[in-house]
Amino acid sequence: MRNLSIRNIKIAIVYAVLVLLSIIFLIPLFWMISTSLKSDEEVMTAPIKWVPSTLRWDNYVKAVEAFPFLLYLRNTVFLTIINTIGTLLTGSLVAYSFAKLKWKGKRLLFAITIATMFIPGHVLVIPTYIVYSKLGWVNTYLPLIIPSWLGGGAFTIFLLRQFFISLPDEIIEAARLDGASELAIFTKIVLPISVPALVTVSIFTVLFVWNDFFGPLIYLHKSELWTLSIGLRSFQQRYTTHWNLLMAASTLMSLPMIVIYFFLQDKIVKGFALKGGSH
Amino acid sequence: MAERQHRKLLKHKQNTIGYLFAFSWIVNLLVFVLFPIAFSAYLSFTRYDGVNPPKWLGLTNYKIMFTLDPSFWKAFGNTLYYMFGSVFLKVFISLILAVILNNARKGMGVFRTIFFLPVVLPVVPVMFLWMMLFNPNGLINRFLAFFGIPGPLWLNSPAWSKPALIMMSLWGVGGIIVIFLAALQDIPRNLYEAAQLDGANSVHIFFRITLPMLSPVILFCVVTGFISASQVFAEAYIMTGGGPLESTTFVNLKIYLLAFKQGDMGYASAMAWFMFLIMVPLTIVVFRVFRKWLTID
Repeated sequence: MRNLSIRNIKIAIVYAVLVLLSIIFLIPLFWMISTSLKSDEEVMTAPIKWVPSTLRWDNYVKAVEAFPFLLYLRNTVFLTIINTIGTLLTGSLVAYSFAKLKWKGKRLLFAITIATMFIPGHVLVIPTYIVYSKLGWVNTYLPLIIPSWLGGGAFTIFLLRQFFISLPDEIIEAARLDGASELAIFTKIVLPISVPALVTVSIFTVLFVWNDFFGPLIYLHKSELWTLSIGLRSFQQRYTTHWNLLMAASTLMSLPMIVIYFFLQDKIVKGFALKGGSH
Repeated sequence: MAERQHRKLLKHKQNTIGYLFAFSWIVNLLVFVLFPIAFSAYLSFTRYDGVNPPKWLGLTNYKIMFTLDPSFWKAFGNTLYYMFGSVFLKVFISLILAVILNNARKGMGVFRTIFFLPVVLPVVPVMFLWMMLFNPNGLINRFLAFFGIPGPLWLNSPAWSKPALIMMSLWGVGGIIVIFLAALQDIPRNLYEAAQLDGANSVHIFFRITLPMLSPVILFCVVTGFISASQVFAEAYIMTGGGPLESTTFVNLKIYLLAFKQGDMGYASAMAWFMFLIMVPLTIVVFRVFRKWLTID
């Protein structure tokens, strides 16, 4: 009896801590949305104003009209789509090669691939920039697209390889005996049963491209090419004190990621856990 | 004889198909990984403005960096401060939260959803949000004032700017929590059951079973955390511009400013290579740990 009540107290404490922390974690996000709906006067008022006295939905209209939001949105969506396609096409081919094909040097190359996931990126930035600038591709989308069409990055390859490896060899061998080419096996048998893994990779690509700041910063200097990240940054520099409009624009940029997260969080979380290698 | 010939041909064909499938990635590794590493090593011994051909300087850039440029050491110190502060706090807090979450059977999903949410938010909006929260008249200081505590100037104070950025980074602990949660669920149940039968209390169980079983994952998170925190850039570029009094000028910001604003790509490459050399041993550690997991599969 006594043990039971101690146990109950413990559980109560655990939940109390979790609820408190959850509130602390949610406050910043709540504050972003709340501020986005405030009038100019209410933004930094002395007693904390959790809910605006009137909800200023027109802040969103003002924010979108104050800078070329739709243009930046279109550019970001374009980059997101084209990078996702490239990552899926080339990344799956490479990962399949690592998982199921036999070739010389495969182990070494895969080891290098894993190592690149942990290379600090500082050292790559300048020479890569020089390459693109000598090719005359600065101020084009090519530097932001090409990596996706060349395997889509080490993490993509790692994630897909883990999935392909789990597929039974028998179905592939059977198709080989029937005389199917490797490409046919890959497109007709492997890809159709790999949709869950391909969805995970797509989500990670979308998250990465949507959030990327550094790439667009160094390669896109013409404002008509800007993505939301860079566009929002320049908006902020011109409207420093208009926190409400800035938060409205920030909410709009965050919203698609929040929606994706709520629908596909299991895949995102699993992908992240796999990144930690704990499988 | 014919059999051997045939097998050789088959192997050759297998190799070719393998290379063809992996072709795009091999190109990527050569052009965008191996070549840049070598080329930036070369550039670090030159003066190069991105337009005129590089001019060989020998060790001059490194001499300047180590002996004549206190601002480099300042940036290096700032980076170490941020790395240690952010990574240890993040790993420590995520470990505690993961263990608590693992004990909360009902509703764990809801809490996990909440803790992980900030991880998926885009970088730039998140930084604007925290600039607003850290504003001297912002939510954090209003909250502190409620308890009669005068809040610091946060991002405007040389002493508080780095702690502020570290605090902000803690909002992203969800990324590590889910790694720990997955690892916790991999610990065999019977270990706990045996310990409970022996009458061990929960503190004992944590230190004798949970912590040792998690230690490779903890090491992994610390090391990968160091590697990514050593590249801290956008926080300083967007939120503080490296100030006040260079208190948030991190090495990566310095490299960016040197290479892309002042056209000093040679010197910037020397800094980049120095950071690379420091981080390589860490990369090797993480690689070792990681490879063990890969062979288990």
